[in-house]
Amino acid sequence: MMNNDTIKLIVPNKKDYLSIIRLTASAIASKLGFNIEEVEDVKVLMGEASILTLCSENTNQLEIEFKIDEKALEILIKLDGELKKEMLDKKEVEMSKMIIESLADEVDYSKNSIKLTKLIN
Amino acid sequence: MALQTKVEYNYDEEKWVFKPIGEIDIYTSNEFRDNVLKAYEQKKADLVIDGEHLEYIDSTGLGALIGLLKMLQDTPYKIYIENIKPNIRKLFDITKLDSLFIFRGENDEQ
Repeated sequence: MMNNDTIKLIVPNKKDYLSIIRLTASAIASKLGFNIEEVEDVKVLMGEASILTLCSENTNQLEIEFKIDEKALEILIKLDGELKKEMLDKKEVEMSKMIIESLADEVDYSKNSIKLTKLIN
Repeated sequence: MALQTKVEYNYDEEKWVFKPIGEIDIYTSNEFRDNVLKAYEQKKADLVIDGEHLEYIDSTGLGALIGLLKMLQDTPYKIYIENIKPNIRKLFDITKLDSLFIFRGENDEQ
């Protein structure tokens, strides 16, 4: 029903909008039929990824794409700034990364984006 | 959802009890820590975090808890966590913080 659909959210990279981003992610996950625990996982993933974008350099805006297919929910967070390797290695973001890596089925960090994949069981 | 924290001193147990209602995240973690510090400064005692109404915590919230743990490390006082929801308990396991805190009502209580 929702196969191959894409939902986009364009939002300022400010902590004021974090709860909106998290709620959007969990609402989509819930609509997709993830169970309660998985919906929470998606919410936490989204929250931690947003903490990373808040630590990135010169990022004013995020474009978040939720791509849905029958097998997975893919969340692509595009930054208009840069996600530097030095930042990702800092101790302050260590916990965020641990949580993301543990809850996502796939994670991909690039210079201008973070891609998270959560498989539908 | 924002955060509201109920603060009470339990005279029988001689412990501060904090009940965060809502979310401890990057937006509210400083406020939560300040509330705890304010109480602790007023009267030094053990701290209990009652997670019954805690819906969400992020890494900055966990960071705030670590900060409180460090504050107490050279004192006789401890931090206890109780009634925590499974989705939040899971984050303590993932980040290996489960060994640093005492979870009341679970097996590892000391």
